[in-house]
Amino acid sequence: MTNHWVDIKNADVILIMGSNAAENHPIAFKWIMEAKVKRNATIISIDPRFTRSSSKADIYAPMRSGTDIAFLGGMINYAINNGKINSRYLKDCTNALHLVRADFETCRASGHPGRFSGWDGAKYSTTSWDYQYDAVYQPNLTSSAIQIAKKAADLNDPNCVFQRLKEQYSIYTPGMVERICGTPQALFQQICEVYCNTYQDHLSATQLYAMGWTQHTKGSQLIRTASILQLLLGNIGVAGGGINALRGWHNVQGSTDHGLLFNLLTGYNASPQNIPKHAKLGVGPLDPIDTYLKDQTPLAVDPDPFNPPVSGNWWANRPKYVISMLKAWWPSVAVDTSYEYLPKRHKDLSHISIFEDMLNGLIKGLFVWGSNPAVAGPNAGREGSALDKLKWMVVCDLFETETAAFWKRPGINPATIGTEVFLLPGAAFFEKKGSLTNSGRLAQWKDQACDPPGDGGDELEILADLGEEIKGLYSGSGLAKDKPIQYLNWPYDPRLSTDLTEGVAKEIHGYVLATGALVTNFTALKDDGTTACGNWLYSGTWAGGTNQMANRDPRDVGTGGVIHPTGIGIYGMWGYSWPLNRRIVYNRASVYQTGPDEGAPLAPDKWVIKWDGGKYINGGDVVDGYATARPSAYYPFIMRNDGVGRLMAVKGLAEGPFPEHYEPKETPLKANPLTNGRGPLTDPCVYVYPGTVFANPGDPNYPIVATTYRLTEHFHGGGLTRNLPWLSQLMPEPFVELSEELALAKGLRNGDKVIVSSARGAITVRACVTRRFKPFQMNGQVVHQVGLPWHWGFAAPSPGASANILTPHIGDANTRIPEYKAFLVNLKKG
Amino acid sequence: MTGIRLLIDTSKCIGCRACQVACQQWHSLPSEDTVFTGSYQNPPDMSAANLTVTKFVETMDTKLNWLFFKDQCRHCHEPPCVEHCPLRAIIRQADGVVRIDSSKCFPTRCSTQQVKPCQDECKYDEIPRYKYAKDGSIVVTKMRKCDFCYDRFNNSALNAHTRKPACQIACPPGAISFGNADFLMAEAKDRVSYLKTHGFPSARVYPGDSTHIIWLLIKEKDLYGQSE
Repeated sequence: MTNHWVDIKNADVILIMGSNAAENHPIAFKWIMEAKVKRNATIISIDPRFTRSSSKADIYAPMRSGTDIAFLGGMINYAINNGKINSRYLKDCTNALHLVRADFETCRASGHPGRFSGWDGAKYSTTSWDYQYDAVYQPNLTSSAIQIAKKAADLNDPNCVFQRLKEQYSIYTPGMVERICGTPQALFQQICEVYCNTYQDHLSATQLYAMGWTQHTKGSQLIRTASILQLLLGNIGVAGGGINALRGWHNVQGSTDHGLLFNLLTGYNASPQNIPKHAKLGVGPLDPIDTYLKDQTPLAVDPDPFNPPVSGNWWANRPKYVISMLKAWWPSVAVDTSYEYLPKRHKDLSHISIFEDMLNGLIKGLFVWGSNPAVAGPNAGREGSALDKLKWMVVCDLFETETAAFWKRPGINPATIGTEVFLLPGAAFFEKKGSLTNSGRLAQWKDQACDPPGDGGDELEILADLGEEIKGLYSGSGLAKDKPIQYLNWPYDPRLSTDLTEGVAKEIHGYVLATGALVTNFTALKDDGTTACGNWLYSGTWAGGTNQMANRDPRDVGTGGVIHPTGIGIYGMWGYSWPLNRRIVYNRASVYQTGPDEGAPLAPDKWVIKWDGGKYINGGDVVDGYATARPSAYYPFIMRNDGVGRLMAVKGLAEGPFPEHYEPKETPLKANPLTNGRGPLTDPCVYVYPGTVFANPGDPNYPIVATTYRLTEHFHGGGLTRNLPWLSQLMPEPFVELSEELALAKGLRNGDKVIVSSARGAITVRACVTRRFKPFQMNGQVVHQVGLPWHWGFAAPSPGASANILTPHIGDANTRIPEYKAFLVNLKKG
Repeated sequence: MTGIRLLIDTSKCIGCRACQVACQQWHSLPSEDTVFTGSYQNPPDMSAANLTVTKFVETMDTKLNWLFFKDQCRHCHEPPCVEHCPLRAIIRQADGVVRIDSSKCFPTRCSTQQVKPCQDECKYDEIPRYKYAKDGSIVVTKMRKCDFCYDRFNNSALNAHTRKPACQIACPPGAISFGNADFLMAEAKDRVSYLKTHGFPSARVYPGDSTHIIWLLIKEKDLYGQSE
């Protein structure tokens, strides 16, 4: 989340799209209802199916799964055509005025419909997806260099980003939205009107999204589309605005922050790749040869380095964060050497890829912690067979999940499985202490409430013991490849604490190597190897030696210990929000940047920060970087090297610098309506895993669109909730939701058994016939959609068919997140 | 009206059923056998194991509505069940709580009929229950119904701010309010007049001033399956 849970109460319009907060994040509705009661906020729910969230919405619109970019692109087009854009915000806070290279062409250029310039038939060259630059300016040999970007005088310049954006979305008309999404034009326009009205300074709209936006072949581009809309309306950085990912587990934000993903080290530093330019660590952007830090540390981009505002370019600090992390892991080793210890990523190693590698015999052993991929993974049948190929597997969980019991799944003879399985008893969240980071980046410390039953143990202790054991095994080795294990600082520097959990948390916060003294926060980290810090974003959580995550002041305290006068819900002394206890990121954009009203908030009744001419006044949020610098000193988006919110993504994501609608990999359409079939039907950059079978476009054998989702009553793979009889009685078995029209066509009645089949497999579930699904009248045809909750598996208690037997192995072009949310099926009576 | 009250605001209810589970947890009630019947409403009705059940109703007027109604004992101000219990096992407290003293309740002794006097006299839906399904058979119990969590009110084992009905504590969107009977009726009426001009012309208080549990409905009561 750019903002946070409590802040939802400040919104004037709440867009629930790609998420179902009432169902999956019920506590969100505490704040949604407060916005509704106190601000008369309008709730908009857009979903293929009328959900529990839709039941509380002022406006509900149906939309076919996988067409969100067309919908949001239509909203962008509406905002621009109807002058419902925040021009001042666009000029001051975004790259709307930046001039784009003359050889850049949008998807609307003739000659390559549906594609940007640079396509060579198989992939893109991104050269043209860039600004026009004047020169590179470097004040002296040791200082950072600055690229001088050209800027237009006004938004009408045909070569500025804004005009290219306008061109890109010019054909995303209400008629086109109806044709692609199946959303009636009038309803679509009503939503545009209400939503885009928040272009006014004093109003804001928030977007609540979750897996309904991310789990697509073009999930990253989908989030980009939503961000562009928010920038056009001036809704980023302000209270009640932002783009807000509702995370699916209580600590999924924390695990992402701490480098859980294969492509990341901690704190969103990219993991090095097995490429020549990542062979050496280097020192930064001015390295004479190609190095990792040269590649990863951006040069500032600034239209005028001699006059403020200038670009904050916070990632210029990246060397300090990477080097301090290396020092936390291998304090006794020079960083050039410890960098060599880091594994160099030789290919994609995301979820699907790991399972494909198991199938191909490349991975022999697997640890599974608190996860149940045999139920939760896509193409679950294929992922089950992948586990058959392992030599060993360790599962640490509270119950014997389907993953732990894969060798006795239906239709399998356990005697044919050679995998040795170890099941370790873990601890539930209340059976161990530590921090949890929620969607709003708020880290909250919790104490242990009770001991785990039996032999159950804290996973941190299990990991620490395992590490000690492994270090012991390698202690006598003289081989160079074993040095990373031998020199590893495990589990943490004993000067920090006598307690394992606290010691690890303090190492994450950071300390001075020579003394063991804790640093104040990440501004004290150095790139000379004298400081150690596990994750720079969490540097500040132990400021002053006190566990800031354990703060529990229930008052709405802002900066300087002052209570916010209008109570926007900062609660600054409750837990600790990264970075630097900031609750709303990019908050420099919430005030006027220049002119006589510099520093005055766009929305005075819900101000986030406020500049009085000499300083930021107390009681607000922690200012986003450069806390003593006046608003006009820096561009507000300090994490970007150009300092501005990007309508156009320079160098782009894989598919281009602006998002374009493509159909899901499995689509009921034979041609993309956007380009009348002249452009690509599906995402041209998507990664297709060999060995996965798909339905054809418009496949008569699989004519029905399907999506998967979760229910309030169950949690993910069901390992926890299917073992709780109170919850199982509420939702005892899996089902498929379908419209009355489709039920009639297929001869199905409510509660009937029904076989749902895809190109990957078939499952038998109950029918839930409902008016909450309606057939889509779109593109001159009728398209039916159904939906399936996916919490079930074969293991007792409360077993049931897994919906992920049906879902495909295909990943987003940028992140390879699986496309769980749009695929094709057929139904027949079971 | 004197005493306490619970106000259930259906305009805020999201049908998450945290109230159902919280009720079972506080009363240490077992789960019961269910199958998926085609509705999210499950178990389909109240039982001796589920003292409150959220009803899910799909209705169509100018648009589709999905209504949620947390059904339970109303705690009548003048409860007929108290009057007609032959064993005098039902107690009406001065604060309005109507509860069953299970040490005095013997459903097999008070009547030979399947429908017991307290059910028969109930103005609503034979709300006290004495059966539930478990592991394929029917379990018979004392009469059970909502007891307002009266044993939480002055319970020193609980934090002061949680000495309220378990369902009220558990409700994520804050759809359930607990407090003084007159105060909550006034609050309900205020909210009704606001809702009437903000998209819900049929908003109303149900059943009225005769009960200690009241609902704020956004549609006519019969749409929620309530005739009384």
